[in-house]
Amino acid sequence: MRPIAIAFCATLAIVAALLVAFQSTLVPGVAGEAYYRQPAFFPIITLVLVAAIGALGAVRYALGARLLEDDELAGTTPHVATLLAVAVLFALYIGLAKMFGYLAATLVFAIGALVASRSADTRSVVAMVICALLLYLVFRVYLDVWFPEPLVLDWLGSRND
Amino acid sequence: MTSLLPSLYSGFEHVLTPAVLLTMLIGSIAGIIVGALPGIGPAVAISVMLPATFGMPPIIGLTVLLAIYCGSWYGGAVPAILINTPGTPSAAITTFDGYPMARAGAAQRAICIAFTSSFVGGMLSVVSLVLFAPLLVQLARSFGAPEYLLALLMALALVLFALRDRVVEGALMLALGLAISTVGLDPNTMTERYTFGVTELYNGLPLIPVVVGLFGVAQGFVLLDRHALGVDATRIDPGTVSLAGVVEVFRYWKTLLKSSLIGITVGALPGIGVETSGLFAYAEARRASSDPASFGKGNPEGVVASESANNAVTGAAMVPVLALGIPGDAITALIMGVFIIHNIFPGPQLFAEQPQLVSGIFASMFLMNIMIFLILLFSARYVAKLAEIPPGPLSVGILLLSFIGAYSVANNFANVWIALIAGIFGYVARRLGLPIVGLMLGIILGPLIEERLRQTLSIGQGSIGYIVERPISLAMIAAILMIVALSVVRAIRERRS
Repeated sequence: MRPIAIAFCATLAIVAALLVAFQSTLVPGVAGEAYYRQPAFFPIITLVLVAAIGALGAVRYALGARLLEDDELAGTTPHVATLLAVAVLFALYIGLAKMFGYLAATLVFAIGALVASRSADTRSVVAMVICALLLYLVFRVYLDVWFPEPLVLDWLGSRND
Repeated sequence: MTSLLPSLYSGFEHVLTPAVLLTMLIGSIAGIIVGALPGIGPAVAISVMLPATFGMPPIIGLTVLLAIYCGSWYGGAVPAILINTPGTPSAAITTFDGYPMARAGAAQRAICIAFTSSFVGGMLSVVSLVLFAPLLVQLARSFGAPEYLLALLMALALVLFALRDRVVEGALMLALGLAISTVGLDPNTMTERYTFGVTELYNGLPLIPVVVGLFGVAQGFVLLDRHALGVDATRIDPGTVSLAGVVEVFRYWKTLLKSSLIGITVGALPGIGVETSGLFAYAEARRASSDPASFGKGNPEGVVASESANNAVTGAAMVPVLALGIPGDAITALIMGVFIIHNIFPGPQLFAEQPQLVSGIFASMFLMNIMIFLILLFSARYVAKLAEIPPGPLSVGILLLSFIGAYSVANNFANVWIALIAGIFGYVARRLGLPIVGLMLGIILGPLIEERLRQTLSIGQGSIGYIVERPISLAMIAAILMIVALSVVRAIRERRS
């Protein structure tokens, strides 16, 4: 994780430094206003802090400072393939919800994510189907959350016309 | 003080309605479930439930989230005692004596002791909130912009101080949060700042999807990395209510009171953290005990100390939030976010303009402690079964909730993308040990700090030298310098050792 930590801190520092360097273009000043009323006044302070502390962090990690993982993750190894698969499924979930509607997309995502995380036993699948239906009832029916009509229904409708 | 009882009475009148009581019941049950499930903390639950409260009246929305907050601290003791796995980080200390008690066949007794201690701690904490928040409001009435600015900076300094060996990482996340908070239209000149022409960013990055991502989606990913707990289901049979266990707690009344006071003090100070309160209280109980060697081997007094202290944090942590608008940790920052989303701005003005809401919050916190205690006494057997749920399906469940939560804020899929990106960022940050609490506090407190800084400079016509002439400001500057000095001394000592 050390190279990632160095890259993370360094990237934050560089991006912040670039934003400060191009401040006048990105956030133009307002003539006649005192310096503390300028729109870029507070952003400059925060970005300088990010650049300075980010650089310090990168240097510390490069010099071998101890890398302390979150307590809950300490001692675990990242399951990169599972994480990537579930993240991609989550992104697909957004597209599927537009295409096939919330309920169908939720069922597809839930079962897909269970398979990806190797947890797809009968009990879990049934529990997830119930969970999806409950969420639909609570948010769609009780809280009246609006969802767009599934695109697939539009297409089928236009073909029938 | 004379107006306290009528104010409380009006608060009870405000919350003793079927709608508030029903949401309190739902929130309490949800909180207990969240606490009993190792892997979901109150921050995750509040963040994913936040959007559902959007269309509710403020008192109902706040009640359901506060009930989740309070309920989770109670529920965390169940897996801590039964399977040696704390449901919430604060319950970690409860495992020291709770689990040995369960192994010795006294699970039912240990659980009753834990719930009763939590109840006493929680009630005393709400009393402290009712007593001290108005006092702090009185003090805050003499605050001007410089004092508010310094109070905010002091809270941030305390949070960084409490991060101990992660001060640089915490400071980086805090600065990043402050920088993110500046995206959108400048409130003074209405100039675009880092919006890159995207009109949706004029009001800044939407808070709820970011919160849902940082806590909900990220936690979903974190759980994918965890193995199943391998619960021994045969041990999960704590039975039902044991009155002996309830009464036994009061045999340790000194520890109960002392630990509750420790919890209240720690809760009211920003950044120290609920986990620390349990640890302090446990250490003090062991020090004061006539049989310190029995601690860690199933001494009920250890459970009393840990549970009363960690639950005493809840009400006290709301004191600076309600009175000053200054949250001390990620969860109270989230609750502060709930206020802001409902267009309620905590601080002295809230007490002056919406006394009914404030007293309603006080009253609902009293009632929810009673409700949670009663629910738990009669449902511990079922709550314990929750610990059997493996992390995989739990992770998928959290992701489902995060999706609908982020979407329902504005019925907009763009918010789900924001939640996903924030979730990936949150996961990577946690892997790298970068504390999310700093980021959250930066995002939520950034606009307040900017406003107060401008006002402070405006009073001094561009100079801040005048603030040392104000006694309260001077005291606050001294306190901040002391916190910084203590941090440096501690760092030097740790390096030498």
